[in-house]
Amino acid sequence: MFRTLLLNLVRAVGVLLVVSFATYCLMFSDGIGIARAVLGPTATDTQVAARAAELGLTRPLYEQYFSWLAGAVRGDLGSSFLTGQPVTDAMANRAPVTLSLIILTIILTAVISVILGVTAALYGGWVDKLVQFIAVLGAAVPGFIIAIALIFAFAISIPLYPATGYIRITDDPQGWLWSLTLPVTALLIGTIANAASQFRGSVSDALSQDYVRTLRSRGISERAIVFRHVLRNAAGPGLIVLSLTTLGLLGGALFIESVFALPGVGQLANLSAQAGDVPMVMGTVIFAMILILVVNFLADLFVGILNPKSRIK
Amino acid sequence: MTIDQHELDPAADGTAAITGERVRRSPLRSLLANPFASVSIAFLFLIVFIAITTPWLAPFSPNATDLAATNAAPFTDGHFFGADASGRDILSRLMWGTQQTIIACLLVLGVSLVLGLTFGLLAGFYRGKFETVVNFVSDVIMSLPGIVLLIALYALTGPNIPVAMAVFGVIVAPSFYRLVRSVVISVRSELYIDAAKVVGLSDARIIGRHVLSAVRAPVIVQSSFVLATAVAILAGVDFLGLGDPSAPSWGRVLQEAFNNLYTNPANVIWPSILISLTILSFVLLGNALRDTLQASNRSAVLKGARRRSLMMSAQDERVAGVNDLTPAQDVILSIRNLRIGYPTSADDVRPVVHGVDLDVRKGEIHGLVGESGSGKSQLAFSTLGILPREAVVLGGSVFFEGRDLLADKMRMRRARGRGIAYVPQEPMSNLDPSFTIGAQLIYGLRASTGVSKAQARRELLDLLTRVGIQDAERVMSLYPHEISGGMAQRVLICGAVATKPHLIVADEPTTALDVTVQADVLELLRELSRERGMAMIIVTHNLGVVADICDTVSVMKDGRIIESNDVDSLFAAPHDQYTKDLLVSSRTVELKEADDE
Amino acid sequence: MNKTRRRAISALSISLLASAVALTGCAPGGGTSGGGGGSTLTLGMTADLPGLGVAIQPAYQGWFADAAWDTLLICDSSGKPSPQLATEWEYNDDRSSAKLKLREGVKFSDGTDFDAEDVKAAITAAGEVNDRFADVAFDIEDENTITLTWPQPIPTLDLVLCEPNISSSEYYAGDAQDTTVVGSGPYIYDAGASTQGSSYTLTRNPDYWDAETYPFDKVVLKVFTDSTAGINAIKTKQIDGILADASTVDEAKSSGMEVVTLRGVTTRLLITDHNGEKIPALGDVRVRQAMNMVFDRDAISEQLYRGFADPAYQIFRVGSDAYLDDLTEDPYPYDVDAAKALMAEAGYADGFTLQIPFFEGQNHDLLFPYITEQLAQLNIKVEQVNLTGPDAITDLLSGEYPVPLWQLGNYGESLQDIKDYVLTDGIWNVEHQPDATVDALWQKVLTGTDEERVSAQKEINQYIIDQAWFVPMAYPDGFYVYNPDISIPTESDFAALHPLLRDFQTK
Repeated sequence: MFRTLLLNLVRAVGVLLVVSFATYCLMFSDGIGIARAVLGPTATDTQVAARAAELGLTRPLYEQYFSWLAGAVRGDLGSSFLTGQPVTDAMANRAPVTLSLIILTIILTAVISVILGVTAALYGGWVDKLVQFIAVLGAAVPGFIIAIALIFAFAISIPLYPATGYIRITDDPQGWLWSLTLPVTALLIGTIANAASQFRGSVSDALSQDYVRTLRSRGISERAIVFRHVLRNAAGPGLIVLSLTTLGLLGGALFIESVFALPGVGQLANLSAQAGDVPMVMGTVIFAMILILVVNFLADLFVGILNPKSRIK
Repeated sequence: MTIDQHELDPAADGTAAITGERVRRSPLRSLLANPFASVSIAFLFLIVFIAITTPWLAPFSPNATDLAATNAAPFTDGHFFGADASGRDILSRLMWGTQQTIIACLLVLGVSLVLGLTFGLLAGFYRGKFETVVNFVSDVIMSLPGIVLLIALYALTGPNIPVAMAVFGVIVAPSFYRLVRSVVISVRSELYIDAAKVVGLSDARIIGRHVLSAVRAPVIVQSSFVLATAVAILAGVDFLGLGDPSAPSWGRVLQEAFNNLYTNPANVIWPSILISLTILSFVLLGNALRDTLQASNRSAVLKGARRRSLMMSAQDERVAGVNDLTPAQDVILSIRNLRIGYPTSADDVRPVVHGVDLDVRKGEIHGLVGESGSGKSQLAFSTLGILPREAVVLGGSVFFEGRDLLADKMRMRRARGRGIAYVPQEPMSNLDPSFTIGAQLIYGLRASTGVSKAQARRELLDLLTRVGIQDAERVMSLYPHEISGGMAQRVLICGAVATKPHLIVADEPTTALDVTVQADVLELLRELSRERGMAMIIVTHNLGVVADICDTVSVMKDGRIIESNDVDSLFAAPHDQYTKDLLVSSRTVELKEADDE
Repeated sequence: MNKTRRRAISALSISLLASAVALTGCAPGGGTSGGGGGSTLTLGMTADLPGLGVAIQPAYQGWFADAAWDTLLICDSSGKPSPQLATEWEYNDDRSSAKLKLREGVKFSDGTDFDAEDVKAAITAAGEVNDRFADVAFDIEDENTITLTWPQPIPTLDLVLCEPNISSSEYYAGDAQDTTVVGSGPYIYDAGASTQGSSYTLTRNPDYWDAETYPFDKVVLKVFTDSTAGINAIKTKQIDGILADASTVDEAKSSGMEVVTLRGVTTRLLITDHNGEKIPALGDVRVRQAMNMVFDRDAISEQLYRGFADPAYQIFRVGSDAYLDDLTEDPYPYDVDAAKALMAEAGYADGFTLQIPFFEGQNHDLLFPYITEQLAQLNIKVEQVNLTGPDAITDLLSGEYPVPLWQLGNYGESLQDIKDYVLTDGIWNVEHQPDATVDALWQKVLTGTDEERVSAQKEINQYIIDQAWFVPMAYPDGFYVYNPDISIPTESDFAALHPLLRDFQTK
């Protein structure tokens, strides 16, 4: 199992390098526009050129990339071209927003989809119909439209929740929860749609395994079969579903942060990319990749623990 | 937005596709019979129609401004959906946006299909290093934060929707790639490709003839889901303001309405509905296509009410005592008039076992023979109440030691394990891979007998040794994947016997085993039966097995028992023509096997 | 979404800088503490600071700079100076040189004393990023007297001296300019209590010479990149004041907030190719006039701006020196037929193609379709060129697009408008084509008496109206909403975009 984990780690680092370089190439510019944006229109061309050089933007692409990489390895992601704010500071400010959003969503997704999916698989009936309905609905209505609908309904028509904005948990825990209710709900519909029907599938798969029939034939109660055997065996695929859902949330969060004006990493990625603020964009990419890495690692780890075949003896 | 993972995950349907290809009766017709599909198709046709005819049909040009109509409410004169903050007609703008949506969809589909199909076919067919490289690239693409990439692209190219959509096509291409590759790999390993190679067809023709046709159905299904994703991502990109502000698009109309939410909230409704309905149509169409093209591995599900009424009438029969009998003293199990069916649609059930009667005497080893599909396994399962979920018992009774198990769920539950035990066909899949051998055996034994853990362990160790497992202690601590098939079958037999049942139902207990082990396991079963005075039903298609160990034999065909007799009489003088054929063919096989050796 | 970016640019030419930064957006908002008057003033900012560097502070929402630093002079809403770090000042005749007597006993927050060397260092540093201070010569008489000399006359010398924030020469000599704040202003930056990008805290400077003007003990600035979030914050009294727009002001009013309405901008097309060098048709005054006649200015104010605007017949601020009070009727009334006739007369009945740059989120999206539509009636085909990414502003000002559409600031001192929009080297006169009449009138401004300066400005205004150098559209309202627990008795902002820090008072 360590081998698998290590292998995946090496692979992830490789992907990280490729992705960061690709992003750098895509965002590469002569730096004049950025320096102009920093200094404003009153600066002369010479002043702008000097600033561009000062920011290190006149160096060749590979040189810029490697100096960025050298810094990144030491944990120094540089500073924003535009505001001079260290990228790590910006990430420290914004990561909690995005992580709050993702973690709350994924916890609720896990709980609700497990309940819905397992119930649907075991008992069928209206729960099953509900799961199928949510699956289609969640697949059909993009998250940002759900978000707009929620704002329309619960912030404007019936002003229950704030339409936008974020309150830090350290400032006001209740306000924090309040400010995240609509955004998380908007994300939840999509994630539950997917996860619940996947859970339903994996529980159904586990239920139709041969050993379940054999267990039944031994006189073991249905309850014990489900809780001891079926859920245990459906947990592996379920974890994979959750890890994929978490990764899917990265993209989803970008839209949701935009609609609800949450000052998170997704919003930063959007704004910085449009402005050509390469260090900030790279910061957000690193954030995303680290999250992917961690989630995959945890998924591998837990699946490994659950699955005796990959367990170390 | 969450790109729906399960839609883009081809693994779910990759292999099912091959069987789907066998559905040959006009897929289009059965597709249109599905109301969701036909409505979706109609709606999508309407969208295409609007896209083509907008230049003539749209009430206004997309950017025509009418200052008097700024923020006009829906259904006002001349502006059916209202007008936006610049006084532009929303209906017209949405109609003009349709063209862009369709072009973007085609672009995404085209790019992803060409890439996914090409690389999937090549990688699946040739495998090797090429496949490894393409797999890596595909993994990298799939792990990219796609939307961030699109935004970075925007910094480079500005608002350029065609380029963005082409790039998105690349981003989703792996979903086709993985799908096509997995289908090709499984098709490739099937015989007919080897045969084609022997015949001397060129690679190109093999790909063209066989592989493409196998890949077609899943690709069509996946395309529908990719199109749904394309509509969503296009709207999303436009909504984020990355699209061309001078061109009308659904996402932009939505964004403009959203920015104007406090002034004119109603305007967000129209683009939201339009975008959602379009995606919904593709999703529903995709689901319907999957059902139609890949239907054969999905069983029909009976309506709950219908199932209940069938079960009630079967129960009424039992209560009325239709099947009642006074069995002979030495009969342990008698099945009377048992009928089992499977649903063919929500309302219809096709019977597969038609009123079977069967008696098994104490200590008797009873063979149940027949070809696959004859209903012999159904019969065996029904004695334990372990029929598959969708199966319906249409009538009849199973009397075990004089009591009808089918009449009472609790009675059936009590009989399982203690009264009747089961030895399955496929040993490996009948052990839970997540638990050690010892854990499963001990838990099973305690569940039906309630002995202490230590006691159960002691008994099982003895029994394991008895069934021929040396080093039983160590085997108890192993996981199923760590032991051989033959050993697994011994473990399962041990599990069945441990509770000291009076009847064992063994479903093809040796079929999955090595020829060398088969005889040992049969011998073991016979010995255990003798030692403990257990009756046994052995379900098999192999008359050799019957000849080896059975006392009595029943022959099943098409859900009926056509002949039942003691082994010697039946082998000596079969009455039924089918039995005779069976005997002849089995001898031929034996001869052939002898030749091969 | 777009709202995020929609904030700032609503104006301003002195701080197009701010607009550039606004485009990049940034910074988390939120927070709950404080608010509600008392000794802490909590203000919302719709855009983050461009950084902590003294030389790059914008005037737009420049409360941080107001608090942390002093300037040499301080200008009021009409551009009239009063003493700040300079207590006395004297200009030479052509206004190319200023002799300043500096305030004594002022200390910077790094503990050093303020003197003439600091002024020299500050102006030199400003010159590195700002053309206006690039070639200043210094003559230090004693530590409290300095003379600044420009190579050319500066008619807006008052304004120029009100501009640069002054830090200590030690600060300029050091290498921590991006990360530390050293000033002599009424408040001192508290880095420990601030989170760059989301909130900035400044505490009272105990040694400040003009403490009465600043009644609050503490100033907290919070960033809200989204206008709706900002309005929510003020509604719940998390902050004491913030900029609003026409779509959110009603929301704030209905929850009991006070509103200051400001008229700091004029929306306009700038036809800078007066000589027809890029597009020959634009060299014909009749074409430019015709372009003025296809816009229904009343309808624009009433419909597009939903009444939150007045029609603009000239580009200058009402009441400024250049403003023509008697111009109460539209000099180019809405008359499409007459416009068509003018085009035909000029020989351009078939029109031409015009590329107009478009910025996402600059309030152009409201007006752009209408402009496209109306100019199309003159067969002028508008091609929308979307400017994006880091080079957008460079492209906009490059002269590639001779007729930009922008919502630009109008000033209490109309000289500034003329400098930026009318003179050959004006930033926004993007084709930079010389014009003899304007140059001659400008000479009068430079050399004339006060009265002549005023009348020359009015003449320039009349000239550019006759020549149709602009298509003025509207004076849209800007809004500043604030908590009724504080008061805003004065409006000192020369750009009329929002109250300055010194305008905020306790009740």
